[in-house]
Amino acid sequence: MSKRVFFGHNDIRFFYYRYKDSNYYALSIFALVTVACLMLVFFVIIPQAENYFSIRSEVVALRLKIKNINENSNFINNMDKSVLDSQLLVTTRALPTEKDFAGIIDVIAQSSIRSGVSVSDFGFRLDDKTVNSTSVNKGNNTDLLPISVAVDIKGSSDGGKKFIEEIQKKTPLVEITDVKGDSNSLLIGMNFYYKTPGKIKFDENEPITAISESQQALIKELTLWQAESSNPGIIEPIGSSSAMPLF
Amino acid sequence: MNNGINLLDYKNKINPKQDNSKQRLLRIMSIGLLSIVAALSIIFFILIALSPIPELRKKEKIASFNLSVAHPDIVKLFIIKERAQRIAKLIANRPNYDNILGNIQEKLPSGVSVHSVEIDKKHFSITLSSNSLQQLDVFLNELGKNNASEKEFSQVNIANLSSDEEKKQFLLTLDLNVL
Repeated sequence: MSKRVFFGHNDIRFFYYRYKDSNYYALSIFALVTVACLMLVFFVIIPQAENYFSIRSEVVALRLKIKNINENSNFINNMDKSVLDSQLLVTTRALPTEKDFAGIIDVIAQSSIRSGVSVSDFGFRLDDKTVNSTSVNKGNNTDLLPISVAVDIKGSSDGGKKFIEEIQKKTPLVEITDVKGDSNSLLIGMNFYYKTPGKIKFDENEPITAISESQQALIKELTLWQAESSNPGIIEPIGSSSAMPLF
Repeated sequence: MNNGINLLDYKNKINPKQDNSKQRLLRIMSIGLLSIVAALSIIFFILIALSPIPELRKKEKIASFNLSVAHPDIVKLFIIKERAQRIAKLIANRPNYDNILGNIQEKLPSGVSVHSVEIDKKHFSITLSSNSLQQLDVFLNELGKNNASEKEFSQVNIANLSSDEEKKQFLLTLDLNVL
């Protein structure tokens, strides 16, 4: 007698026909489908969902970026270009981008005329290193470069005081570092500053802010100082430039 | 002993109706699970495919280009703001020597004059000359009184008091520390 009972014995087909109507068959199919579904969820659905949510957040970020860029464009386009140019001129004259010797000589000359003192000799001392010891370089102003100038003045009774007063209200800006003298002459040490243009970090995604009110007020004041500097008019010296006592 | 032709025990007999409903339930659940997974996958695929990113990227490029036209003005604005900030700090931090000199001058009584002066950062040294000690005393009192109200100097020290016989005048040197 043949050992092979019928076709498909010990075969998958045999098991299929043997168990296809049983609960075990249905249960195993359900288990297989559940496992397959779980795998699909972990390997397909979850990455798809992550992808979708990342796209959604990217869309939100892009919309915000476009909105900011458009707002920045509108802000810049609505600005008065002539005002911007004049403000740039005022600020760069007050704090030049390079050594402005002509401006320094002009300021010293005009201050001496206005205060009625005579300037004998003055010398420049250039120092390309930032001077942290000076009072203006405290805090964040460490990138200002000084041009040290020593001025020897001779003049009227309160000429020394007036000279300092005058020179401090002119541009390029100056810091008086030391004053030495007697009743006849005064040696005034001062630092003029300049600042080389630094890197401008502009992120178009971030909104551009306007010049603050305090800064605008400052620029207005500097404009007045510059107007006085550039248009001194006919100034009568207060005193003679002879060696009269300064105090 | 079995009464019927069925050799299986009655207790172990399987109800084919009950069996079929269980199998059907399991099949429905399997199909349902597969359908849910397929539906979710299709939904996410459609949502991803319909995302407005390409359109937004185009808009972003156009907006960036429009802004790049205004770059020179933006640079100007940034320079103005940066310089204004530095200038404000510079003006705020520079010492007012003219005020110090002016205040001293105001307090000088007649007959007292400034012989020499030296100002360096916070240190202020002044030598006064007068032919009267009383006038120098008036000045010192005035300085003390004024400093008590305005607090201009943290320290006022008399460094030297001498007399010049030839010129017949007294010299008073003061060391002042500016606040």
